[in-house]
Amino acid sequence: MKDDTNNSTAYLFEPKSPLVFRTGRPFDQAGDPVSLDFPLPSTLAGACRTAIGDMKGWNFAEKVQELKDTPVHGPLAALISEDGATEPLFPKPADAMYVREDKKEEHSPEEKMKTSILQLQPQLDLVKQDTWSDLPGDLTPVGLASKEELAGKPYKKGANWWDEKNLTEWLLGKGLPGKQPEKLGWSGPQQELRTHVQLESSTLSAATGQLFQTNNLSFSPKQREEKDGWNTEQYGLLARLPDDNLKNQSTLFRRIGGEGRIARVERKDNGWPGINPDLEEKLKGSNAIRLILATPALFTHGWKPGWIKETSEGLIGSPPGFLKITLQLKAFVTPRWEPVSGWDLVRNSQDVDKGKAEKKGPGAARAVRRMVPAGAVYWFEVIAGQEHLPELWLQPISDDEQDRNDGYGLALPGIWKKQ
Amino acid sequence: MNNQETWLISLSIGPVQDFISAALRTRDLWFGSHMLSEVSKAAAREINKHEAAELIFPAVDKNSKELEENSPLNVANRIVVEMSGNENTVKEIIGAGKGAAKQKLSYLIEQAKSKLPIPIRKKIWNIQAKPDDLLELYGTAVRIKDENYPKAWKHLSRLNSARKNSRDFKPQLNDPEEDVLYGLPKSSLDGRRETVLPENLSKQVRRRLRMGDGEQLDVMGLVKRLAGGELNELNPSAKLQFTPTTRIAIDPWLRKTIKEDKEKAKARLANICEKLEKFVGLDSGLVTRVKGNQKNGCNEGIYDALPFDAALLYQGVLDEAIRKSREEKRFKEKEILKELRKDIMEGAWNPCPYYALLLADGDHMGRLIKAAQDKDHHKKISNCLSEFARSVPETARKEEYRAHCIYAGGDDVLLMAPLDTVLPLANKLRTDFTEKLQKVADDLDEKAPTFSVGIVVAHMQTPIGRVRRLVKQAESLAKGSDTESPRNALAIIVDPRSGAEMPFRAKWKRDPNQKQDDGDDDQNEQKSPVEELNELAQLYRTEQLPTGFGYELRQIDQLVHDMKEKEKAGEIAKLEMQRILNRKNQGGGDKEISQGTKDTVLDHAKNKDSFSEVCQEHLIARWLGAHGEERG
Repeated sequence: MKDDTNNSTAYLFEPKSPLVFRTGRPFDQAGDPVSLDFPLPSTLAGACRTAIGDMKGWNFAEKVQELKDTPVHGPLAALISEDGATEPLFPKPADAMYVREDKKEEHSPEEKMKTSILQLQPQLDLVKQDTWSDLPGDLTPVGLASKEELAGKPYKKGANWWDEKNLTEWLLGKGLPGKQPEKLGWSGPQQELRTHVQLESSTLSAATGQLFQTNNLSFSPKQREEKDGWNTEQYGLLARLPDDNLKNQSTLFRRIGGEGRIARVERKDNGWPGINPDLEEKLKGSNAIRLILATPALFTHGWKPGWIKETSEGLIGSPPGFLKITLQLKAFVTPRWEPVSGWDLVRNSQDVDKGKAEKKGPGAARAVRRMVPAGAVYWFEVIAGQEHLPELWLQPISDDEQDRNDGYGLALPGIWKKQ
Repeated sequence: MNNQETWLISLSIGPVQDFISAALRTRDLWFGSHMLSEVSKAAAREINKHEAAELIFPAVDKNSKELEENSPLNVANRIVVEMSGNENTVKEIIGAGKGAAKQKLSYLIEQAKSKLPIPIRKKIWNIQAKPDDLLELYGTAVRIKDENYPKAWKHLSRLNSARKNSRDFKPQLNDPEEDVLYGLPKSSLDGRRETVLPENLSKQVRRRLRMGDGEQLDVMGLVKRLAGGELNELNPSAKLQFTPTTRIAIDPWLRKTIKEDKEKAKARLANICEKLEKFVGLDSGLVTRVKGNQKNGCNEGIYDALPFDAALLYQGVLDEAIRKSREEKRFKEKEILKELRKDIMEGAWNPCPYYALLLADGDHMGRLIKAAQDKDHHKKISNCLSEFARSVPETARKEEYRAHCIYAGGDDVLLMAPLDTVLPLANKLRTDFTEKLQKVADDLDEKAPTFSVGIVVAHMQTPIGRVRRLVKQAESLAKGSDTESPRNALAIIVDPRSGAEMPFRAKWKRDPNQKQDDGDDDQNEQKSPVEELNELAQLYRTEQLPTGFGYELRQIDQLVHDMKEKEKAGEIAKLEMQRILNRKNQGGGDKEISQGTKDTVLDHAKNKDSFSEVCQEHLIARWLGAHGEERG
C-alpha cells in the first residue's frame, strides 16, 4: 500500500548490548545455540508497536488489531558515527558476486590478492537451442557473462551490507569497477557465543555441570582490519513508521529481541533513505528493471510473488498497491529460503474465547513460512507505468497485507541494462 | 553415437545443508552424508541404465557393480553424463535420474517410519514426507557442437551455476491449511520444519532415540536417526554403524593405559565393559555398542578394546547420569552407575575429553577439470578421485591413525580422529591425494592438485552442529582465500570448553618464491607443519617450555601490531622472544631453558610469515601438549 512517501523520518535502534534473535529451534541445554544473522522485519515491527502502545497507554488486548495495522518498515542496518550521524546500509544484492582471481603461484602477491565485484545477469545466450534447463516458465538463467567466466574463486570476505552510494551505483547498473568487496560497507553483526550457568531454583546457586550457551549479535565497534586500533563506529537498526506514530517521544530505551536486551531508540529526521534523483529519472524511462529485496519477502507461491500471474503472454502482474505499473517477470536470483515462524501471543486467547482451547496460555508457535531472503533480485520488463516506477522505492511487495504492514519485502527498484 | 546429436547433461542433487549440516548427533552427520550419496547414487544408477547415456562423473561403466546400493563408492551430488539423442532424450534421462533420487528418499523415509517406536503426528509426517519438497534437483544440458567437448563443458558449467542461482521453491502448505502446523515446536536440527513427534514424549522413548529433553525432530531428522539399520542385518560386517565422539576422544588415553600395564588395564576394562554391557541390556539409551569401522574382510573392530560409547567413563557425564537416575527413580540403573563410578575413581583415570573433526578438500580442482580436452580425461579424473575417496576409510582406520571416516567422495573428506593421530593422518591424506592425481595432471600438463585440510579440536559435549560449522571455518582458513598464499595448507581451530577459539594456519610447503630468512631454500629439508607442531607440543608436554610462554608472545604481538614499519616490528618481536627465552625457566621449576630448546623455538620462528603465526603456533602447541597424549 502506498503511503506518504514524503515522510522520511527514521527511528534508529542503537543496541546497548549484544542482541539475541533466536531461530525457531527449541532451546534446550544440549542444543546448538544458533542466532539469526539479522533480525526479521516482524521483530522490529513488534518492538515499534509495543513502544507505540506504551506511549499511548493502550490496553494491548483491546488494541491488538489497531497495532497490527500500524505499518512499520525495516530493518535496514545503520552506521552510527562518533558524532551521532547515521547512514543507512542495505543488504548485499544477490546479483553481486565477489571473486578473487585464481592466479598461479608465480604471480606477485598483489596480483594474487586481486578481488573484484562481478554482476550476475540474465544470460540470453544460455537459452538458445543448444541448451536445456529445468528452470520454470520461460525464465532466463542468471549468471556471469561468458567473458567473465570465472577466472577466480568466489570470495566470501566481502561486505554483507552496502552503503547508499555503492547501492545507488549498483541500482543504476553501473557496476562497481575497481572497488574492493571489503570496502563496500559493513560485514554485518558479529556472532558472539556466551556461556551461562543454570541456576538451581531452590538455592539460586549454580547447578553443577549445567552450562548452556546463547549466541548473540554484536553491533559494537570491532577491531580494525588493519589492526591499528578500534573502529569508532557503532551499528544499529533503522525503522520507518510511515505514520510517524512515535513523534512525540524524543529518546526511548526499548527492549528488542530475546533476553530483554535493550536498544536506545532515537528519532532521526530525514534518516530514512530516499531515492536518488538520478535513479528516479532513469527509472521513469526504463522498460527493463530489477527489483532487489531490502528485507526478506513472503510470497504465496514461495519464490514467486502471488501478484504475478501466468498468462499466455508470460508471467505478468502489478505489485500490490501499484496498479498502474505492469511488469513481466524475466529472471530471478534468490538465495536458499529461510524459515520464519514467531510466537503468537494473541491467538491462544482467541481460541479460548472460541472454546478451542481450555485455558489462556502464553501463546503458541506459528507455523513455519518460507521467506525469500533479503538481497534476492527479480528482473522485469516494464509493460506499463514507467513513470510510477520510482514510487516502488522501499515499499513492501509481499502478497499479504499484514506481511506488508510488518515490513516484509521492501523493494529497491534498479535499472536492468540488457546485454 | 553417429548421426545423432551429442549432449552433456548435469544433474545436481541437494540441498546439501538439509542432508549434512543439520545435525545434532554424529549419527545425523554421518547418516546424512551417507543418505545424500545413496540418493545421488540411485540417480546415477538409473541414468546408467539408459543405453544412450554414458556416465562421466562418476565414471562408472555400464555393467559395473559400483553403483549398487550401499556399495563403497560415494557419489558426489553432481552427476555428469554424455548422451546421444535429442532434447526429448535429455528430458527423459534427467527425468529418470530425478525420479530415482526421489524414490530412494521415499524408501528411506518409509524405512524410518516402519521403525518408529512411537505414534507420530501423522498429518505433519504426510505433509513433510514429500521427496519433491525435500530434494532440490536441478537439471541442465548443452549440445556438443563440432565435437568441441571443452567448449560444451564450459557452457554446461556456466549454465549449471546459473540454474542453481534461481532456486524455485514452493511454500510448504497453502495458507488455509497452515492451521495444522500451528502451535508446533520446530525441528532442533535446523528449525526449518515442524516437529513430527507427539507431545509429552516419555523420557524413556527420548532416551531410546538418544534425544535430549527438549529435542524435536522433523521427518528428515527422524530418518537420520532411524533409517539404514537394516544394512547391518543384511550385511553383518557392514561398517556402517557410526562411532560416537566419546569413543574417539577416549582412544589415546586408553591406548596409553593399555601400553603401560597391559594385564592390569585389561582386567579393569573387562570390569567396566561388563557394566556397560548391562546398560545395553537395560535398553536405557545411556550406552550404545560400538561395532562400526571394522577392518576389511574381518569382524574385528578397531575399537574392540572398549566396544562402547565412552560417555559414562567421563566423571562429569557419569555424575550427571547418576543424578538423573536418582531423580527419575531408576534405581537399578543408579546402582550400576555407582559401581561404575567406583571402578573409574580407583587409580588414575583422567581421559582427555577432546577429539578432532577433519574436513579437507582438493585445491585447484576446477583448473584441472577445465584443462581436460575430452570426456576420457574427465573420466580419468573422476576415477582418480574415486580411487582416492575409496582409500580414505581404509587409511583412516589403520592402526597408526584409528580414525573413522564420515564421508569421502570426490575430493572431499570428513572424518573424526583421536587427538594424537589427526595431524599425521592429515599429512598422509594430502600426500595420498596429490599422488593419486599426479598422473592425470601430468597428462594434462598441469600441476597435481594440492590438498587443504581444516581440523577442529572439540570437546565431546560440544553440539556437533557447532563443531561442523567450526570445521568448515577451519577448512576455509586453510584455503586462505584472503591470504597472500592461499590453499595447500593445514589449519587448526582449537575450541576449548572454556575460553576463546584458537586458530592456526600453516602451508604444507612454503611457496617457492616466498622469502626466507636463512638462505635455507632446500624444500626437501623443510619440515612439515605437522612435524613442527609436534616438536613444539612435545617441548610443552615435557615442560621444557613454560606454559605461559605462548601468552607472553601474544602480548608482544599485540604491542608490535600497531607499528607501521612491519619489518622492524617483526625483528623487534623476535628479539623480544629471545629475551624472554633467556629470562624464563623451564615449566614448573627453576632450571633454565636449554640451548637446544631455544634453538628449536627460534628456528621455527624464522620460517613464519608473521609474528602472529609464531604466537598461534605456540598457543596451539601448548594446548596440544597439555591435552594430547603422547602417541604410544
